[in-house]
Amino acid sequence: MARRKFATLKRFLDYIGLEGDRTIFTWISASEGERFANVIKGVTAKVRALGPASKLVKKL
Amino acid sequence: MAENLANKEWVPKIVAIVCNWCTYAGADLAGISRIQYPPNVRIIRVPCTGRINPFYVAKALQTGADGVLVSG
Amino acid sequence: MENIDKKLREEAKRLLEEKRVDALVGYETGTLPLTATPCFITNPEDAEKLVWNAFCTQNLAKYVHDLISQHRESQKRVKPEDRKKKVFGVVARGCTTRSIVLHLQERQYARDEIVIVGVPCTGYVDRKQLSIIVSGEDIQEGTLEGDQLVVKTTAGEKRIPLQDALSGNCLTCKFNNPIICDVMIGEKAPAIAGAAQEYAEVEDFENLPTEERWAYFTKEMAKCIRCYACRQACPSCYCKTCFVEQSQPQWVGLGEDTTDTQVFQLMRLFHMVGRCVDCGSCISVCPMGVDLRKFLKKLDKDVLDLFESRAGSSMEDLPPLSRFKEHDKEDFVFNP
Repeated sequence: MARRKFATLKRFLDYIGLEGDRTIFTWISASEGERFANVIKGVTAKVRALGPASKLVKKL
Repeated sequence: MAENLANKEWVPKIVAIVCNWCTYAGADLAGISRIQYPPNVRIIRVPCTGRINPFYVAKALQTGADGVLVSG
Repeated sequence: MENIDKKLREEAKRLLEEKRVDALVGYETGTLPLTATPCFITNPEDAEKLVWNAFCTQNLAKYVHDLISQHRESQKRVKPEDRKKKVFGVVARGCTTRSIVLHLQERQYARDEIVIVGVPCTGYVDRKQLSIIVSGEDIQEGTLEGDQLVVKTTAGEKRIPLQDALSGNCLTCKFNNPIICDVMIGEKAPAIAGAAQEYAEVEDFENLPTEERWAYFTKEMAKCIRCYACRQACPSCYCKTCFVEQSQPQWVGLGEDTTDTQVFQLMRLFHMVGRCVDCGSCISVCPMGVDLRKFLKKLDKDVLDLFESRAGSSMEDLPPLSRFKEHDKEDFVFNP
């Protein structure tokens, strides 16, 4: 059910024009420490490539 | 202070919303195994991925996160 | 149409006289020309007020839900043995029955608490579209003659083909006949010709570059004045406390901030995944003319595409986000 929810959420965010790479979904099990580190590396690289977020950000 | 911050290289702020039983334990394991990973994530632990309201994602983006990771 | 009005009134009168319903929700002629407004009938004599025509805009499932939940609330303070059950009748076209199916699936009320009087539908007139056609002139009088609207404005009389003034969602409607009903008034309406191009608008939008899509979203949401009319009119929006009014935690700020408006709209839209029946009520009540349909239709398309489900299309088609299949698409998952 969570998968369905996020499948639609990701498509919808992409549709309204928020870069799809800013919201990332993945599965990591409790025994996958290595994978966790890889995911964090991957996510950081992706977000870094996009630069700071400017859309939907509230100016405080 | 502000000057110092401006001079620093920009690092992304990433919010990770993770399941207590899967990814959180995985992160713990990565910690005990001393695997190196970037320090830019802020982890929010939830009881289950099903607990995550899509609103959390929108709210994180609105309040200044550069990226949101949802993991179960 | 005259014939349908007559049958509808007879049927309504009969239901009320036989006490099969305690109140009936229908449409009556509005105070402005070329409008109809929802009405509640409890007295069999008042059944003469009922009409069914191309000006009946609102989705009445919302009122049914409100009436039933109010009644239930009022019964809470009554001793259990004195509690009364009330049955409400509703004049329902295709999209209204879809909303009712959705309510039934979401266990909002029981099937025996409502009597559905089904009516065939060929679409309703969009007031905003009509106002554009008559270039914003005041409509003083108007009648429907066959498939022509005769509109008298300050600038003179004008004949408009009904097809031109119909609402966008009606032009591509696939469910113009009731899905479920207890009594059907008149013959089933013919299928709408434009139904095949249902998602054409969404597909066009999908093909635009990201920046243009974002520009369009911000432009549309900048119009929003946060009057919450869309929420009030939407039959799928029935939370007792809406997330915008929650203060612990406060999900979304109440000020004029543009991002707050965007987040509000984004989340209200996203609550409609697999629940929007494309009745157009939110769009017709919007005072600022925000193009909500472009976004709502996308959710509908995704749900059909990913889960082969459509909101309220049948009693068996349960809400897609409350179930899952083993082999649902997983292509969005990130694998480093």
